Amino acid sequence: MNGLLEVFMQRRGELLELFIQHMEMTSIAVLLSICIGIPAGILITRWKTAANVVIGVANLMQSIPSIGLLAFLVPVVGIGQRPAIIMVIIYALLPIIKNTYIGITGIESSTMEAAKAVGLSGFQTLLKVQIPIAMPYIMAGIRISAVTAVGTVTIAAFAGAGGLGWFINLGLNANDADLVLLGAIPACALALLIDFILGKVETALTPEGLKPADKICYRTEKERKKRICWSVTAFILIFFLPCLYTLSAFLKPDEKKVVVGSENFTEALILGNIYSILIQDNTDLDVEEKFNLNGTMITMSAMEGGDIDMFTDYTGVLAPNVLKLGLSTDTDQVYEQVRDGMEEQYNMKVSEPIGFSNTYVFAVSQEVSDKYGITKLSQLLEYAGELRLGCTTVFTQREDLLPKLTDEYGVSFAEVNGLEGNIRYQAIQSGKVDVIDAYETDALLKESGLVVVEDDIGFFPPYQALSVVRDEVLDEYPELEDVLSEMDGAITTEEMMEMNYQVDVEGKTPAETAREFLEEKGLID
Amino acid sequence: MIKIEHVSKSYKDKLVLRDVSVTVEDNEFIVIIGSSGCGKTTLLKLINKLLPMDRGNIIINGHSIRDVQGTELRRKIGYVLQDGGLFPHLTVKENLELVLKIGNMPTEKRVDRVFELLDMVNMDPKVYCNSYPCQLSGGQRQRVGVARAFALDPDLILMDEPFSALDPLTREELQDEIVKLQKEYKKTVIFVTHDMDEAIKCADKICVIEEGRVAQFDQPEEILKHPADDYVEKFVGRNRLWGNPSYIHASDIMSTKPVQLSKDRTALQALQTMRKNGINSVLVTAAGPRKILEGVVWLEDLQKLDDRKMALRLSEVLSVDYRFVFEDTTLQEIIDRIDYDRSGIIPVLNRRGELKGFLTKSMLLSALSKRYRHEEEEL
Repeated sequence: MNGLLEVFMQRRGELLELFIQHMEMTSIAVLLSICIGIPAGILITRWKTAANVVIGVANLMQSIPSIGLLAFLVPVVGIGQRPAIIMVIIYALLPIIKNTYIGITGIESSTMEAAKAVGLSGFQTLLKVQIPIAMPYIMAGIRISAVTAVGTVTIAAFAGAGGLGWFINLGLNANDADLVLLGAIPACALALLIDFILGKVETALTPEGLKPADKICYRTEKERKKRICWSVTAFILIFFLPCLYTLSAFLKPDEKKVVVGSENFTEALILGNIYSILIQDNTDLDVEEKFNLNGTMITMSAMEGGDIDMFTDYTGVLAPNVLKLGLSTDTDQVYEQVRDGMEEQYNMKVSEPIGFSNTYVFAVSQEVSDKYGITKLSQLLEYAGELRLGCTTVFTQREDLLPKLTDEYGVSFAEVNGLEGNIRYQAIQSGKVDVIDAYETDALLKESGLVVVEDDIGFFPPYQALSVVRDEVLDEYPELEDVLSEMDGAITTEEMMEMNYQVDVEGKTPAETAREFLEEKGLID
Repeated sequence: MIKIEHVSKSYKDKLVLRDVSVTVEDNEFIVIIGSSGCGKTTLLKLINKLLPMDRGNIIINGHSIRDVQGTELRRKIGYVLQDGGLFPHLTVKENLELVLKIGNMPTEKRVDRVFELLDMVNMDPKVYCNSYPCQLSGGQRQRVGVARAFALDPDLILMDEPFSALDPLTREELQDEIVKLQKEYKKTVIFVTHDMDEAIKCADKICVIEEGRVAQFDQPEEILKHPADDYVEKFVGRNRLWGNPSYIHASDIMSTKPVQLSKDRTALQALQTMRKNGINSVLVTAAGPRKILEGVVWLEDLQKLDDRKMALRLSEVLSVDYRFVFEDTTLQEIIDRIDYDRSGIIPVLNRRGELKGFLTKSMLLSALSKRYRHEEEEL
């Protein structure tokens, strides 16, 4: 609890901003869902064949996992708030369409006949009879949508949309429950608050005559108008006000700016911050940060779409995943291939290596190391048949990793357990596995006292860190080139590991860590 | 005047109405009746274009409804649904105001009209104005439904089984009121029901529909007495006539062969006639072909006379202490008027005083009991 309070005090400024951002995305998505969902719901009541199709499709979309949907959307619409909002709309739409449809089709046929018989036109019937009677259902649908949307928006952080999901994401990376809670608790509170206010609005908008006879409370027209006014005000406060935030950003004049992107793990975030600060302090350019993007595929689509101008990555990722290059363990050769390939295929300039490398390593516990006498990879492979491996799914899938061990070296472990992120460290510390795959600069590697197995056979592919910038941006702001080259060879593996440790274990923010590093190195004043 | 001309209507492949022609005069109360599924409600809904007709034409006051837009047409025709069909989310006042509003009545006149309408259907406006439909009884809802149909003062009001969901007492009450309102405000009413008693009670004319065709369209009395075919007779029910004493006249049940003597005959002759026929009274008429009734001689009066007076003329011994009825006096009136203990025989006269027949206690009893006899037979 103390930890949470501390984290809260440290990051309250950031929290407020992310909270507003979260509300804003929720609001835009729900407002658009209302604008699409209610007319769609009404329309399909008049066209029954369409009803099955529309509700079927909406049901289907609801069943797509949100993270999968996001990954699908990013290549099409880019990163940031746009895919996030589209994703939330897709999820928020169904309850609104369905409830509108049910509310309207559920109206008693005698009431509908009466509306027609007294001479109401179709439009008058809709306005004076159908919508008021269906109002409780429609509002209930909006409530469900809004509450779901608050939750779905947290996923949006994976596509660089910000919001409270940012903290959850950071917390998951750093294995920091307090940070996760810092994102989750306000999200929860926001959902409850919206539900509460919309519940009040729902009550106010439910016509008295539709309530149970003993709950009816007659109100004069003036009183009713007042209640509706309050409801609308509450509605505006929840939904429209947050949108003003974006609107104000739109109204700002377009400035000279560079968008720095980063993936969603600690090291990438620190590097993103380093570049951001470096550019801000050494040029008169403005920097927009679009951090926390989920993986290279998303960052690359963002680069291609011009949503971000630069990011950092590793030769060992770019070569196979982006450029589809064959397997090689020659560090220089891979670097040159990546540099040339990125320029030719994508018009992006790859910097000189930043200095450190973040390749895969195997790590074993002290006990296992002692028992088998393992310090080198060749030794590890000898005993593989007796050891249980815990590794990431990427490790099991990439052809130059586990499959290569199996096929070329004929090695098979006693067990292979697919484990993600920091769970691997928990698993090895509790003795559930004997060997894990790790990144060379993992902070937890330093923290956990594991034995890093030295790669004496040159098995692992090189993972040199480097920055990637779009050529167009360098053409527009040539001054960038000098600033970025300051980072060539600037960070050693030990330094990177130390920075990761500061963030993941000591709880500093990536920005603080980045700034301290730059100051220490004299790269900023 | 509403002319329904050769109207046909089908749902999918099923023919619901076939070549229906009916003419409704202004200010008539027409009841359309038939078993469920016969097409009576469909016929009603064709009139205000709630349903489109396939063939034929409906002409209201010289204008074909085909030339009028449905919404416009319906605003000029009142409509009452089963259970009122009130909008549940609006108060009584708002329900009525909504209709007034779409009828383009200026705002300031609407409230007065709402009060007027509620008064008309015997609901205290101050009490019920702001009630919601779910707070009213079925009867009250239907009263508001009727008020709504009258709101824009249409000439024609259609009613679709309006009272069938109400309890019998409330139903009777509303039937009386709707007939009263129809006469008072001179409306043409077309009323659909499956209840023959309701039809007989309210209708100026009844239209019996059987499987989409008009089986009979006539005044209730004619339908009761002279059903056009077996269907109508069966639908009306043989006992129905006897259950409605106001449609049975003296001429329907009287004996047309009264035992009668001219007033210039003697007491002795009267006594002999009575003995021969085994009766206790003889009707005495004036001499001459017109047979104007002069009085009655009773057996017990003649038996009191001594033999010497047996030669007296009947004109001297006849009694005028009797009740007579006219041919067109209804059974209802006969029952109300006649004192059974006193009159053994009830002469039946035409309006000129000529003797046409007679009734006895036993004839009345048998007429009244017919209803129950049929019921037993049907059981």
